[in-house]
Amino acid sequence: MDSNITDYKSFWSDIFDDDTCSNMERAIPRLRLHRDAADAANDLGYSVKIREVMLMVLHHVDGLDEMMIELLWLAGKWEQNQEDIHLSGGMEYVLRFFYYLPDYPAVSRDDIFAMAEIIRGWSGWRNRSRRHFDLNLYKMYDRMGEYQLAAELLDIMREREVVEPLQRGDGCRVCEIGRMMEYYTMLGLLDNAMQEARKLLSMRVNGCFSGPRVGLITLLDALLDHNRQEELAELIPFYVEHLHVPTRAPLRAMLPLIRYKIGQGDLPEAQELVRESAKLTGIRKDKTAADRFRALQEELRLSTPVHPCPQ
Amino acid sequence: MKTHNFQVNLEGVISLLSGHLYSSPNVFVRELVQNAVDAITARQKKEPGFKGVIRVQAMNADVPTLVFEDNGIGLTLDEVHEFLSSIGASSKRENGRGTDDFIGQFGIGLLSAFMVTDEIVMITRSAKGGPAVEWRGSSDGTYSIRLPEADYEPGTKVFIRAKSGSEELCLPLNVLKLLKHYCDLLPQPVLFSEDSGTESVVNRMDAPFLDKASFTPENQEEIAGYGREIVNGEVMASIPLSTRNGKTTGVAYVLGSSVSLARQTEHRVYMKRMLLSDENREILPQWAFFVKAVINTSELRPTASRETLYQDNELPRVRKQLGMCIRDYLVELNQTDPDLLEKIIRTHRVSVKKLALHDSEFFRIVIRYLRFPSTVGEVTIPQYREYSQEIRHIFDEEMFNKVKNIAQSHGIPVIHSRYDDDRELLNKLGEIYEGIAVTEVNPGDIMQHLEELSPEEYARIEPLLQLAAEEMEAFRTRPAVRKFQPSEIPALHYPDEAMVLERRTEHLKSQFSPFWNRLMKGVSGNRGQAVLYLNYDNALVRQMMETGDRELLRHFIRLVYIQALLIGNYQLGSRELTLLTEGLSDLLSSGLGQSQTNKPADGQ
Repeated sequence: MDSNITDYKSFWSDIFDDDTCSNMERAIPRLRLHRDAADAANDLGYSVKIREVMLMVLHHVDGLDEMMIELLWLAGKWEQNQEDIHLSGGMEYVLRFFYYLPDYPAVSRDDIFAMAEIIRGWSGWRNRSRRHFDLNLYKMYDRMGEYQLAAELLDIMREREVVEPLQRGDGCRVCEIGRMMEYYTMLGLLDNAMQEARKLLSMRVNGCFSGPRVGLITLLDALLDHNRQEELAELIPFYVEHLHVPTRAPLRAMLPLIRYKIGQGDLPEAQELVRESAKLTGIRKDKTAADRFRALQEELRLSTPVHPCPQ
Repeated sequence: MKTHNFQVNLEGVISLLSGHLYSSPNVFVRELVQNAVDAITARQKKEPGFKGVIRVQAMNADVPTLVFEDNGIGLTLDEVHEFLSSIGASSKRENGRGTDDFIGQFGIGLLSAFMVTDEIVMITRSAKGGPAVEWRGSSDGTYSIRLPEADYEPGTKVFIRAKSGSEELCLPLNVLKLLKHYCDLLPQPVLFSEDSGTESVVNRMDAPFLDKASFTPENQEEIAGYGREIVNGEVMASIPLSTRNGKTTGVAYVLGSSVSLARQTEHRVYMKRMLLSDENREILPQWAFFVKAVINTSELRPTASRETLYQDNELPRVRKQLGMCIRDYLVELNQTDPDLLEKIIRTHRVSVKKLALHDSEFFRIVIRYLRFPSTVGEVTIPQYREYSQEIRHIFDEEMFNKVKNIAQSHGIPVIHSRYDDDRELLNKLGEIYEGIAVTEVNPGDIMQHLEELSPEEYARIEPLLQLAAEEMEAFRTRPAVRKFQPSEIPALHYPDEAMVLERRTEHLKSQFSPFWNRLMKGVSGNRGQAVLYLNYDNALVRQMMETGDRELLRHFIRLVYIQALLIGNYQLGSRELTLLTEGLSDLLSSGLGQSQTNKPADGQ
């Protein structure tokens, strides 16, 4: 077991000590071998740990289908062994179901709702875990087109925030700031979200940027919706600087930038960003982002002046 | 408002120097020799052509005593008051800044002697004239001055008696070792004597590797010999280094064996030929970890401890220019000694690959020498292109292993690009050279390159293929036929990624409840496809083509499919296990039935 944990640490440094995806892609076959060996040895603790690395890597290199299967493995094992402390580490990844599961047409809506209820039962009633769960459930409703359910949940979250404000977690500070930003933005508390964002600006976030990235994307989108240009100008340079850290950005990370450039009237730059982003459309299976990207492409096409043909 | 002067606590300052600024009290030797060198430099400015000499005498008395002597510029009585009475004052600064001519400039060098002594005695006489002056400084912060009656030549003598606890530091052997360490490249002779014994020169003085013009064939062995001493092993080449202004020069020794990427090579850096550090990691770019450099600089600034370089804008400039020297040397080697270049690249390929990725011109030079593991052995790109103009590579080790034997048997070149930066290098190859097609392939692509059948051959096997298509439809597997070696293998199975995932889901099925299985099935879907390549060269396949027994053919196809899965190390699903069991039973039954039929009746 000890040697396995040592190996796990070496995996971690080998895989993530790099600013490209190449180490990660290279690691996948090795990770699969170790996963199979751990499973065959019935070493549940190591099986979970290896999967934590796998989930991170697969998410980065767009191996979403395989990531979902491994997530389901974790969830299934959690259901069987809830008292096993080894499994708790992987649980934070299980909430990714909410974001991606609605993209699988072969998974029925009933099963998605049933799964959400099962995970609700696991997530407990502690302040942070409940908020984290609600936040992801809200995203799931939104992605499934269940806008009424999403709005109702948001109301409940707002009311709860007044009587029992969100507590800060004690995990990775950068990731926690990301979650707080996202949570406040969802609730429309943009000033609170900006306070969190400002904390981020003064921190070194190199290896961790994928943590707060989602929070920043959400906040930037909300600031764009409300045309809060000063705050946008404050955040955008930081965002651009860290966008490609530690790996290439997913398509949805490019969308606020394109919107910002269109809003600034910088159409050539917006077009350049669209060209760059077009390469990303097929990479991640993020249908929502792809739809929004196409809408922006169209908006840009319409706003670009057409030069009359010389007579 | 009345102003007051700060009071400086000398004991506190000494504690600061010994405990925090310097990494070791041994540096007092360097600091005192450095003062001597600067004094000689000052005298040479006044008297061009003057020959300076430094003497260090170590006396083994009850208390070890050292004398550092130089015939440099010396100090006048006024200068002694001005420079030796205040900490931080230095005769080597002009307008508050250090000059390029002197090593020291901080005004704290002499104080370092207090790390090993309680009293410094200095007798100095200026070459500018005036009487000799004796300065006696104590570690309690007091000093006295007198004018000795004896006659002294211009220059300076510093006397040190080891204080309690510092005796070992002042022993002759230690001092000699330190002199060799710090002063080896000083241009002035440094003479050492023990008690009243014979003086010997401790430093090499001549350092041809610090002058680019001295890299001549005659000096080659001397330069390489010094390199072997420095690296404590073989060196493959000695690369002259120089910044454009010539203020930083030296040599980079290419190490004779490969070094770990994790290890950072430490370089030896001299400041005006006095050793600054032999553990410097900043003066060369990180990618140059395959060389160990000896460098002398007069343009970079040391920190006050004189053990590291100051991190200003000059350091990156110097680093870049020195890095370019290494790069240019390797580029030039391509013309002058390609064999040596190939040897260096082979030995230090990790470093070379990293540099090539970031420098297109360097890439063009070295790419032809880089070797890649492939199905036709370890090959360079030109060697590979003797087999095929299209460069095919596979990144995934599992996939490469699946196709390796087949590709090897048929001489199909495929590079395994999993090592180091191979994948990026190969892709860059396609970007840099027009007309070179570089493709990342999968095993199915490789099967496409195997020999196809003639129309007649195809016509003969078509009925078998049609039947196989019917049988395999349920498994979303399409049959195809090729000729491949080894001919003992009747078929190979190549699933796409989605099919691999489906197989995994199937494998996990027994572990979970129907709910989770349904979710997994929903995620993995039913979209995977596979190809079953029948081998036309396999004897059994050929035999089966000729049989008209459709039932037997069906059994054959099912079992060949299962065998192909097993060859590919795929775990069998429940349907496939059933297929295997049924297929074997049916075959056995039909075999038994046949043997029953063939069995002669009793009594016949």
